[in-house]
Amino acid sequence: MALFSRKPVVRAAPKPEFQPVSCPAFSRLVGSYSEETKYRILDLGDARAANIAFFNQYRCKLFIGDLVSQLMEVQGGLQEVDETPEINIGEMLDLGDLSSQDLVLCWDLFNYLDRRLLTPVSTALSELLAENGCVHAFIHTHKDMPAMPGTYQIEQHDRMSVAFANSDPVPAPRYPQRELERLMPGLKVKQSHLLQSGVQEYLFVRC
Amino acid sequence: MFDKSGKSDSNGSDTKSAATAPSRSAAAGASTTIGSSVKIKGEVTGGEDLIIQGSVEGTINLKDHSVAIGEQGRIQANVYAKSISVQGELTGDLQGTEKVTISKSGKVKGNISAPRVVLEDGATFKGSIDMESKPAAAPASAPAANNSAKAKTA
Repeated sequence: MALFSRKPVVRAAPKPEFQPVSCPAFSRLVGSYSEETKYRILDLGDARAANIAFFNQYRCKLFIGDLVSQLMEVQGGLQEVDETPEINIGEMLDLGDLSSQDLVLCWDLFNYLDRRLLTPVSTALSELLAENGCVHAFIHTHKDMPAMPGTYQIEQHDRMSVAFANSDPVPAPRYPQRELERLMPGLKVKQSHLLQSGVQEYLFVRC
Repeated sequence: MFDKSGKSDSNGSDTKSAATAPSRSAAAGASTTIGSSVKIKGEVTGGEDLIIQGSVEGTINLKDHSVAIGEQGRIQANVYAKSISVQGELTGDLQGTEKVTISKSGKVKGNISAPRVVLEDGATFKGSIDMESKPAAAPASAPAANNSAKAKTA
């Protein structure tokens, strides 16, 4: 009917749908968490109901600050090709003492960071980690990726889901592991898994 | 129902308004409501549940009762209660001995401490959440519950 109507048809933009993502490294990590220990966890995305509900089962202090959007602003302001900004995550997030994190959730950040920001951001993250603390990340390995970082949420210890805003794809940086470790000298890969979706799941630890 | 000892606040309502505005439902043990036109600066304590649609700056302390911040509530205060739910805007720290809930219309900036924290999708939160399996102990400074809500102006 609408096809032959003279009135313009206004349709709401479809809501992005969540797609399942497996997360074996995350599963193994949280599976090792003890009931006796209180963990410090830093979520660098926006607050999600499912993630808070998941961590409710642990003794933990969960810090939530949307660093991704703040770094995108820093990135937009970079002028010089060789400009390397200083990054102070504590100042940017203003969440009090962020030291000694056992886990930093950094799910889609590294895909969208300019190479000039990878080193200062990873160095700043490594300084926030506890001795055995980990950074958990997803990195695209296919040629293209969605134009904007996705929204991840934890469904179960071994399964997450992700939704991307509908947009044309953009080229993905496709960092090989060795290149990542070169660009992020404060961190080294502890575990990585190539997932069916073409996304590589990483656990980084401090060097 | 409210103590008053004070002066006019910035929106023109005086503390007399604040003292008379809260309404209490007829049912025994029901809640007190701070209406949307009411602005309180100081400490709110009490021995019954509290619904806030107005504005509070300071501290809210109802250790054995629940505090609900309605959609029109605008709070700049630390809140200590048995259970806390936020539908409006709050800047401050929340300590719930049972549960803290941020509804989809809620916007919270601060630190939460509670054995159970629920955030609905659509809610905005920035801060930290201290999740302990055991209910948090009452802080030493928490005053004993009174039989009625009490507001002290700053």
